[in-house]
Amino acid sequence: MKKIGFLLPRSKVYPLIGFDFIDGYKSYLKYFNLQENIKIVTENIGFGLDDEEVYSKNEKLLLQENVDVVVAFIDGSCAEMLNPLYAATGKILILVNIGAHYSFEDNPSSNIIHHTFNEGFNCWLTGKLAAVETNRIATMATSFYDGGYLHCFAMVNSYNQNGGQIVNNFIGHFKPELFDTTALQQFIENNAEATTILNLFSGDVAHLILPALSSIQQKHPVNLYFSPMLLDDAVKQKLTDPININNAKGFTAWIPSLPNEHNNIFTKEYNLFSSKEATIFALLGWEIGVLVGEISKAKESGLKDTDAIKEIYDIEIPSPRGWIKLDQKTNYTFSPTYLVACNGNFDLTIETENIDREVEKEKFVAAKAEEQYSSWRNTYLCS
Amino acid sequence: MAEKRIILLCNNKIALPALKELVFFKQAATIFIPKKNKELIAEVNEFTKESESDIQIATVTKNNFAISIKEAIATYEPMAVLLMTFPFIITADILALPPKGFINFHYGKLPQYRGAEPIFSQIVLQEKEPALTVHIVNEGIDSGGIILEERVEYSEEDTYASLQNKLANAGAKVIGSIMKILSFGKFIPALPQDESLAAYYSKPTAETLMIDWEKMTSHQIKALVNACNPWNKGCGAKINNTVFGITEVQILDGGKYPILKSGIITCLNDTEGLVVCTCDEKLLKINIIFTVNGFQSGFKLKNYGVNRGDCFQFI
Repeated sequence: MKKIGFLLPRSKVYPLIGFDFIDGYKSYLKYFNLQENIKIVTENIGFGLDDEEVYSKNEKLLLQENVDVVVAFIDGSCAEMLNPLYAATGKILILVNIGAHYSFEDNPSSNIIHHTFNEGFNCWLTGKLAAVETNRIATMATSFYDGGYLHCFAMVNSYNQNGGQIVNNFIGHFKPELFDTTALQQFIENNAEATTILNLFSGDVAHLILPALSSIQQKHPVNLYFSPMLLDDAVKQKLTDPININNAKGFTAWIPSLPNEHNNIFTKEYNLFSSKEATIFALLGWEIGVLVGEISKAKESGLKDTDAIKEIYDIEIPSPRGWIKLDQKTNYTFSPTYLVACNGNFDLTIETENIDREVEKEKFVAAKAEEQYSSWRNTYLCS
Repeated sequence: MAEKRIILLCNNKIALPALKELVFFKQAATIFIPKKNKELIAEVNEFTKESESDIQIATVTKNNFAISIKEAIATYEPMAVLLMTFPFIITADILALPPKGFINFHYGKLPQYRGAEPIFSQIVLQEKEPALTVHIVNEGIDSGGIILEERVEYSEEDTYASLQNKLANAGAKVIGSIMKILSFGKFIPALPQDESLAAYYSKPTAETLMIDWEKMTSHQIKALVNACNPWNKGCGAKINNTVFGITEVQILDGGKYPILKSGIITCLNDTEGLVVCTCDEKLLKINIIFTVNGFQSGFKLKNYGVNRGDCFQFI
């Protein structure tokens, strides 16, 4: 029997983050009738902020529990600290997060896979699209919390690289009761040439920016661009009053209605298993089943763990997103990205466009934040 | 992390970037530097003064360092002692004192570049993946289990100084992870070295610092020149029974000069400089030489009675 260790996070913003994630994995096991073959061991790691807790829980799973694989919902930056532990034990760590922070190493550890929702890459694509489609004068709108991760850098950097200019930054309060969009509305009122707003929000305040944007669009023909977490279904569920958004766009890796066979199976099976609607976190959990399954298949011929990882490089592995592919240069998984339009009362549709994903991925990976920068240290969405 | 968890032993400014991190995060209790390294002592003193650090600086000799270190371990009770190019051999009884042992920052890839001058060896042997290796210290020479390896970018233009800077910065990059591993882990994760790949290189001698025009290719000569810059002011080359230093060279793509026997000067003038043929039938332009009168342009070799057509002497 294989033993999988899970390090699960806490989140006040998304209280079900750990539950959805592990249920996503369990629903995969159930659908493929693997429950009897896999033993799951779980540990809690809080907000992923305490290095000592993260390190000692990893050590515990490896040395005391003797698990075969560790799956940890933590920030990618932990890889450097954990690398020697996994290199010495020869085991695999799958680091899972939304992909808002990313740290592409020149020589990534051969024992560590980064599995993400590609938030940063999708923000990069959205920044490019905004520059290509508009007059290239924009407001960057985000929250005190959301703005402290590299996905914000990705969106702005891509927008700038394609000729865009950010002329105004709006940073909303992270507490819903103090979230006030007056400054944003006044700026748009007084600056007719700034016709674009790049929006990067999640969690407790995402549903609060939407009525403000809806109201702005009633008076001014502004172009709206959304980050992946702002296109999440959970945002719609929190709306208290109807909104009327006009053609807001953004790239994302997945929406529940994505039309493909694997997504149909995932959303249906997850619902049957958990009596909940599928979420991004459940998707990531399901995909852990997909990834571990592929690695196990590669190991059947007697390969050791790190060699099994090499066997799955750059192969399109079917997933509810379409596929996921482990990138050899970075050890990050990438997937297709979809341009989604948001209209009316948060109705999402998939649009077509012709941005070359591979070319943009190379640019995104190369565009490192070389200068010193400050950021939040907790795992994105775990606060 | 708790404060002042380690003692640091070093003998080279390559340790400074990592030391600054340790001081900033208040992780070092004391630093040992050999007494004769006055330059490093002055630099560390200046830095600790600027940063208002209360870190203790202990200067030691080969004769007294063992007692001093034992005393410091007893006083500060560090979890580990870090070595960064420390020249004196630590005996087994001292290695056993700190709970997490002694950890060495070896500025070369292991086990391929054991020895006291891994930066020199990596450049001379044109290592494409030069690295800093952090390993557990045992009684052997650079042979303990490897905790981590941090590779740095390779360039054929790297001199000893530029590669040293890259590796010094790599030390600063990994020191945080090393401190976390030492602080948080129940054991130190380390992989045994693959002895089948091991190689040991002694310190370079006067003979190995001379260009062997008969056997060395243009790229090997360039690597030796870079490996000697700046600490030896370049590598040595003998012509007309006089030894000159060669500090900077470039390999020419070809051109109008005839390719002659290795070591022969095929061009020597003010405008085109000093060009020498090599045994791989390439042309090597010597840009900077070191003479009794200091650093000079290559073509000024003519001021020392050297002419076009003269040949550098084989060793």
